Amino acid sequence: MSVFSMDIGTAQEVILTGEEIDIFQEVMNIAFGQASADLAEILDAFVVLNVPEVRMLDESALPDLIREGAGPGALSIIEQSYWGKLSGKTVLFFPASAREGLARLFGEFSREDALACAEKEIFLEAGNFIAGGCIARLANCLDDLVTYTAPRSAEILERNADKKTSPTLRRIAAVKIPFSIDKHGVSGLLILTASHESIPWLKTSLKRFMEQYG
Amino acid sequence: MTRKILLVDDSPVARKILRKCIPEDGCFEIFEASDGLDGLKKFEEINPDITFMDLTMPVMDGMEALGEIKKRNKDALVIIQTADTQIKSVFMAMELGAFMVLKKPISKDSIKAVLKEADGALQTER
Repeated sequence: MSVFSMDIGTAQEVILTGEEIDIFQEVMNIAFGQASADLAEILDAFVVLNVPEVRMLDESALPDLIREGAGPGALSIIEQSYWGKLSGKTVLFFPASAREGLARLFGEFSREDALACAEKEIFLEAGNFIAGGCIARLANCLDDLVTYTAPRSAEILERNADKKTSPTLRRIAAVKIPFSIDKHGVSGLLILTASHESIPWLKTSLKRFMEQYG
Repeated sequence: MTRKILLVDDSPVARKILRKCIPEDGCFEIFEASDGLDGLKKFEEINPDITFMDLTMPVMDGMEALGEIKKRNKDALVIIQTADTQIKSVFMAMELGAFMVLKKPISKDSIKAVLKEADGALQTER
């Protein structure tokens, strides 16, 4: 077998079919819905959900997806990695204007206290709650157990960079979920990725999820 | 007596799961819609006995569709099935006249029990 045909074979094993993407989308919808209910209870706020969008893409296209998600304006970006049978990372975006609202949501601070809080700390706390909660619920739906890195503040993206990276033939699944929290007008975007290595397990797991319904 | 059931959910997978959970005993005729607006149109066309409605959907969300259905028929029996189980969402749905709010993921047992309860309510009504 040539190297080229081996690559194609490997790539086919790690591509979710249209039906699998639909199942993953529904599982993400359930996971994020449950995580939002937890969050709403903790924060005494209402989380407005949007329909998650799942895409298969080459790993090299992830920076473009993140840039697309980031949009214009100043942003805070929080990254977190997770490992289990399913592994990958989450990237959470908040507009800079969300800081004060988040500080009050997560700390019940007065306006003055909120403004005085370290920016990174507030966004990291939000990342832990929102992205961490979503991963935990996703793992639960798929009967997995995951561990996480601590959330970290990501470097500001070079939005105007034209740097092109070569395709890697490493396919990943990416889920985009826009959301907002009504209290204090906080909105954001969560991107969750499932790594190339975990796609075969994800395929099996999605099949098992559907099999419970006969 | 055959009951007409309308499934409103943007996810084809969620509709498929719900179909699989509804007993195949010839007692139910099933129709589908892929968002709230489509659901509202189908509701007017077929006048279902029972409507299963998701909340988070594009075009028209389930809460708005529920409100519109209730404006057209205050006795319509609408069951919300959603992953959004925030207290405020459940409260709003019940305020708008939902018969029940079911938490996703659903199960065959929960659907069987809900259909039995819905059937009882429909018989009392008539």
